[in-house]
Amino acid sequence: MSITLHEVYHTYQPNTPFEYHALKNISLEIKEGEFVGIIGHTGSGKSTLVQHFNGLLKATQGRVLIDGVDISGKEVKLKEIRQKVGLVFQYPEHQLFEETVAADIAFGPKNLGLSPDKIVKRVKKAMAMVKLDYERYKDSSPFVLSGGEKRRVAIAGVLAMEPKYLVLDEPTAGLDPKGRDEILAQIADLHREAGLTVVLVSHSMDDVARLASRLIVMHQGEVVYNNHPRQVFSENNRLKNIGLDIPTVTKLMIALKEKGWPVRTDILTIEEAKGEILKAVKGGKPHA
Amino acid sequence: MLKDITIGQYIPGNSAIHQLDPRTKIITLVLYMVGLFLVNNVTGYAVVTGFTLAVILLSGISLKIILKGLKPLLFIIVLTLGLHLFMTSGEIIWQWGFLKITSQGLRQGIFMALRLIFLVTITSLLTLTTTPIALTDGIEKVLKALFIPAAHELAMMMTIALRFIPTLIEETEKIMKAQMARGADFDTGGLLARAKSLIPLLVPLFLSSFRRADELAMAMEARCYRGGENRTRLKQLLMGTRDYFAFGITGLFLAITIVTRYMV
Repeated sequence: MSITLHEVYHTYQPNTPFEYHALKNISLEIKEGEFVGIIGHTGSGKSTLVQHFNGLLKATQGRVLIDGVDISGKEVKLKEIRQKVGLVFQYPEHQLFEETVAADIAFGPKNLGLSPDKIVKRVKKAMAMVKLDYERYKDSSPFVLSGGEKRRVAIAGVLAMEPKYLVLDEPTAGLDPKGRDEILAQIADLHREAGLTVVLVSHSMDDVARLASRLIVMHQGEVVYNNHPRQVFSENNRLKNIGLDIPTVTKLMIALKEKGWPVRTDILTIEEAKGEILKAVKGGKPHA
Repeated sequence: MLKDITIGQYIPGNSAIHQLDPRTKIITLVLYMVGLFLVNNVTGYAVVTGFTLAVILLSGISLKIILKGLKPLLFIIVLTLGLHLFMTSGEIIWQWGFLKITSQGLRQGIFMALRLIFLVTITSLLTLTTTPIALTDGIEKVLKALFIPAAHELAMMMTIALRFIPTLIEETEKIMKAQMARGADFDTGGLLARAKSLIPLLVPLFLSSFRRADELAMAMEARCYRGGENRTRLKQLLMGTRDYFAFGITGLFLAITIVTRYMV
């Protein structure tokens, strides 16, 4: 069971002066249970790519298979695909429209045609998943909440569809560091505890490095890397050439190594770095 | 779907039409419209058709784009044609039950439909070949010449409105997609169901428009925008030989349409 793209191309406004090839020959697979990070510069085609995962955009050429079903098929119900693949857009709080938080989160389940008591159950569950207290928030207007809370309501709106795959497009954009850490921690929980397959789109290496088990790097509509983060970040110079940075901790380790400290440079988290630095310090001064 | 809207779109180019002064384009457009509404016989319409095609050809804009711009108006064009076709009394040339077509109706229907098509074609040609900034500069100058108060403010409002059409279309698409990702359905159901399905689209759209308006006003104030008084321009509008030539040609066109109406 997986999301599979086979030689997918996407062209915006074909046959006009504004023709733009956003995706070129993309083949990839996202297996159930994975945590995949998609990274790329603005305009690299990340957002276009993820909109193919639930059939919001149709491939100009190539095939998209969700759990083995080609979604361009005539008999395919897109609603079912969209239930299976939950997509959280960039700035999802801009899509809120209902008078109360609970009603807004209920929008998805309602579209699926569920019964009222099932809807309430799902709303409660979704709010618990993003750590919003049901009783406290259910009747408040989504528009009076803080930025981080609004975003959690919007994510809950997608979670209430009970998707198997959760795709998040820049979920931390525009949040303060605290809000960012909270959202990322919750996404990690969704993967670990709720068992969701997560695809996290971002341009921040720091966000993705410590969470994703696989990294897809996009550049000018093409996949340039599709590998474990450690492998990808070892290509420090090539990443720089396509305008991407490596995580701050990895950078620190490389700088230490250059100063002569005997440390590993394929480090992704602060905890790893701490262990590695302590080890090096105990080992004595560098011989630079 | 929404990408089909070509109103206000500018297609870069270097044609003679592109290079005309916006004021020239606006004024000749008005003259053209007068001509278009003057003609009332086959000769006249032939002249207008020829002139319009020549202008399109000269602009280098492909006919396909122009036709695409006409698509949203198809209903109203067909309606006009139908009303004239069946409602005009005169010499009957075809009859089926209570439906009858008269030769006068046929003539009138085709004329009216053509008039509509040309009107839209030439107006969209203006926006297709003129950058929004040049267009509003032109409008401002023309309004000023007509002694209309607050010409700058009116022109600025138009610039902003034009500027935000693509932004709003983009925003609409984004919100639609976001709601579709939550299972929303905008395309099926009865009239009431469809109207109701627009709420999840319109509420966020209004909110974001207000937010944008607020931000834009703030950004303009931060850069000391105070309206049109004593404002100078980076790009001065200058009329050249080409413009006088365009006036000449359009004048000639107008004269011919007058001749076809009153003398042929």
